[in-house]
Amino acid sequence: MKLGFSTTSVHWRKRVLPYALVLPSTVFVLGILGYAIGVAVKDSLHRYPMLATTGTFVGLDNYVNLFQTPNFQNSVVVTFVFVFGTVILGMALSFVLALSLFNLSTRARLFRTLTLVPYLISGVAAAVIWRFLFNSDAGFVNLVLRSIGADPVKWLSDGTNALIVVTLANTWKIFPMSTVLLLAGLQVIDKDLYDAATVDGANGTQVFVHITLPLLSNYLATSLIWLTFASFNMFAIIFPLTAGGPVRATEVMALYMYRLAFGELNFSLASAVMILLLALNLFFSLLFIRLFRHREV
Amino acid sequence: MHVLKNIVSLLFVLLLSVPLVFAGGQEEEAPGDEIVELTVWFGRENFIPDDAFDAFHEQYPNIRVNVDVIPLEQALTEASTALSAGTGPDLLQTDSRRIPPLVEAGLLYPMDEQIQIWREEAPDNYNAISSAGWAHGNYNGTQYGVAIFSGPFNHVYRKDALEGTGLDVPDTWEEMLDVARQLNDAPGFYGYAVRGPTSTVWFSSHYMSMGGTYDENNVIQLDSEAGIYALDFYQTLVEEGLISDDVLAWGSGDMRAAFITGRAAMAPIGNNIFPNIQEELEYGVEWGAVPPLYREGHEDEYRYASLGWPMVATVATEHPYEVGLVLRYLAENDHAMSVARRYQPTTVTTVWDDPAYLAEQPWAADFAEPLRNMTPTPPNLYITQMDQIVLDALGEVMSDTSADPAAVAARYQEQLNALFE
Repeated sequence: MKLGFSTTSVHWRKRVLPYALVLPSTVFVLGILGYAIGVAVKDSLHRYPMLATTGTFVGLDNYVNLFQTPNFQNSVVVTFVFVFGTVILGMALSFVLALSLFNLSTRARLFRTLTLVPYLISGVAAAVIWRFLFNSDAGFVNLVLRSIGADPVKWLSDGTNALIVVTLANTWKIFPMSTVLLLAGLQVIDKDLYDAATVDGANGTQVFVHITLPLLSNYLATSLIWLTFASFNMFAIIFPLTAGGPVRATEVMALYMYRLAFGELNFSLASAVMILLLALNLFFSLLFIRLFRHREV
Repeated sequence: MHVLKNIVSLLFVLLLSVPLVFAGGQEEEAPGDEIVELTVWFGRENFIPDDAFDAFHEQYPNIRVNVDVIPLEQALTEASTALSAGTGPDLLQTDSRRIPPLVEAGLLYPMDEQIQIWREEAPDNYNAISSAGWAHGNYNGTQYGVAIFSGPFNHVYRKDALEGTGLDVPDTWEEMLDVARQLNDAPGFYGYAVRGPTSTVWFSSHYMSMGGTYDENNVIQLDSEAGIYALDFYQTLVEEGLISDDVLAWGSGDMRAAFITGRAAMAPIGNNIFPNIQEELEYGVEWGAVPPLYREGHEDEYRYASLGWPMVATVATEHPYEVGLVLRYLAENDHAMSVARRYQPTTVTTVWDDPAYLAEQPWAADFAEPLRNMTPTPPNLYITQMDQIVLDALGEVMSDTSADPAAVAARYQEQLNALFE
């Protein structure tokens, strides 16, 4: 009788309890997100007169219109340059910094905390800092250029340069989080594996390629997903830094969506952009998870 | 037994007193003494009069005004959401150019009848408001409210810079470019400062002063002579380096700071910023201001553009008369002046000649006459889309100095006209 009770208890704890524990947060997240997505899907399939709450069902017309709009096409191109610029640069910096921090002595671990500082600063404050840095007349970067005899550069009023600046600013703001994720991954790798590899005569590159990278794969995927997600949805830095300009050169999809919704009051098209952004986020998340599926060492 | 008797007596007294209490309550809530609650949304904290409705509450103890600040830029969407949910304000402040979308969505309450009552009950107060003030609260012949505050952009100049080089204050835009060219010699110092393709209101002020007009749908005419001239003017500023290299990314704060800190000799700046300039520079000695200049040979087409921020009644109100009383309070000389002293110019004309106002604002006397002749920047149902198209056109000529302004104007005019097809 006692044994029977114990079996039920173990069964409950192993099979039911985990689901019971995650249920409230799942309901909370899906409830809010699910509602928002549901409303956005509905709105993207309707056309509403300005400021009206009832609209006409138009099927996929809003999506077709979007893809035929040059400003949307521009925002897609800008978004991909911005996101992949950030992802490539962010991953490289995260990797280098995570490895450096991992090898730091215990006394120098304050730097681990300092790494997170850009992430903790608000997007608007970060944008103001970068604006000061890249101001053409009195910005720090142009002051340095002048001091070495070089010509000052039009950083924020030239389309290409402005896109470079917002990409750098975004990378600076979000890469600390991916660094922390990779650092966490490095810290859970069993040190015995490195010792064994050294005993077997493996060099540094071989250890990195055959032990570190495979065992970091889950963390790499998470870091990539973070950098991609945060960049696709980035608004807080770009809006105060360039407001999407000059001449829409830094108008990413998130900013274009904001302009449609709160500038033009076209919530149907803005909802369609939101659904497309969501689809892009999902696609790349699944892609990264698949690419970096954990492999045995 | 004695205790029980006391309890029963007490209960009996309480029972008898219940109807008396209710009767007393009914007396307090008699219709004449009903408290009317009004919610008023201001577009900026600065638009709220200094006494924050204290005098109003004293005069009308049965009306309670609850004030909230909803930024002008968000007024449309916030009002739409709140009014749909039945929680909207009785009175809200908006950019007058954005009244049509609110009207078309059925969110505004026509105030013609209440304005007529205002005219009869308080003619002095009513008559003190300028025609621009009324025009900013009117759409298609219906009065939805009134703008107690309306402001233009003026041509401000560094008197010290001009006098230092023996130059006169320009009268025309052509002269202004010449002056800017002559002042533009020092590194980091520019002849002119202006906000670039991030807002249309500065452009429309230039456009109207250059003789630009709007068609029957209130659509700006970029492909008109004045429109092409205005685009060419902005392009020239960039092409000749008369403005900062960063202008394409500038906000209004950058432009104002450039002028105040002495990095630009001239700029188009609204009266609301004059008190800030005065804190740093002395009017008449170090800086001066005149209404926008005109285009040579087109003086007769000149218009002094004004923006207005009317208070308009919404369909949420059940007390239109009381809403009218709030408008009258805001239009009283002292309350309007309390805002005008520190922020936007008022449409209450008695303020313009008030000795206290003139003594405090050294530029006020210079603008009393021009302010009587302002032309409201027209409202438009598709104002948000129209603004975006104008910004794109402006951005194109400013970022590509080889672009032909006439060709750019023609291309974007097609987009503007398509809004009404």
